[in-house]
Amino acid sequence: MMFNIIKNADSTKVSNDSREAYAILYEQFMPRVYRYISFRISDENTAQDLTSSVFEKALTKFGSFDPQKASFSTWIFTIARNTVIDHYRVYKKHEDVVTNVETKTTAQYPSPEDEAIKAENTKRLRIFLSRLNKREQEAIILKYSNGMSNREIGEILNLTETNVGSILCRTIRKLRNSFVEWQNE
Amino acid sequence: MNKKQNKDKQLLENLDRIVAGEKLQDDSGLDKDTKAALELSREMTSWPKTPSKEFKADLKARVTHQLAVEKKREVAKNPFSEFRDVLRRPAWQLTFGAIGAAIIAGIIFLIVYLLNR
Repeated sequence: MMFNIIKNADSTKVSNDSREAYAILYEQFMPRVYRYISFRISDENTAQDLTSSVFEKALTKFGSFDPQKASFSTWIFTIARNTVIDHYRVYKKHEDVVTNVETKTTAQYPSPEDEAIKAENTKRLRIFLSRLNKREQEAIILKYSNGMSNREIGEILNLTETNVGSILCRTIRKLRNSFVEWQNE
Repeated sequence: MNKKQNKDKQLLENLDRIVAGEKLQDDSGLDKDTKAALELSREMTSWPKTPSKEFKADLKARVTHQLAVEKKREVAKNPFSEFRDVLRRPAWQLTFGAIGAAIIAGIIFLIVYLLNR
């Protein structure tokens, strides 16, 4: 079995099978974890360092991962979330959402004016997002960075699926209202 | 279901379609507020970045190295662990099972042959 984890009394070791499992899961989840972290960390190098740190921690702790208790997705995103929280604790920054990123320019916006408007809208939206409370931010980030289901988000944030749904609806409408108010100023 | 709950349900269902990269089939039944919230959602789904090829390759190399170090450490601690892991693989178990069954069938055949002689 893939998740054949050998548990010793003094330490936990990763068996051959679970090493293979880890390699497969790594391939599947690394881009998702990176997307989540880069949604929250403005600096690309820091986002990369934190992503590396998440997978190093995950490998060390993989022996204690129990698929009966939680899915790998819940487990790895909990590690990612805690890693980002620790990062902010160390650097004592309060910015939880990227607000100073450059916007990608694509052929979708033909004129420089359109591009400038798009960039300004994105910047403003990110500012509004950073003003939300932690739980609202987390729910929005997990939804938009990875398209997680409300149940998965609930497992990570210790909330019920219904709660997550209510938070998402309320928060999206709140963002929309702030955005409209700003546009009408 | 009241009007607000119905609006929330529509918003969440369509939001899941947007984050899954699907197109909204028909939004004519949606109210102005929900349409606006979904428009905002569409905008936000374009934000996440994908990791660069260099970073992907570098991290994969590091993880592979770490896995190899783990394996070495385990082999050093228990030299037979690798052999034990091989024996646990279904393909090998099937092979050994088939060989065992063939040996048993051979013995039975030999006994029956010798008794009938």
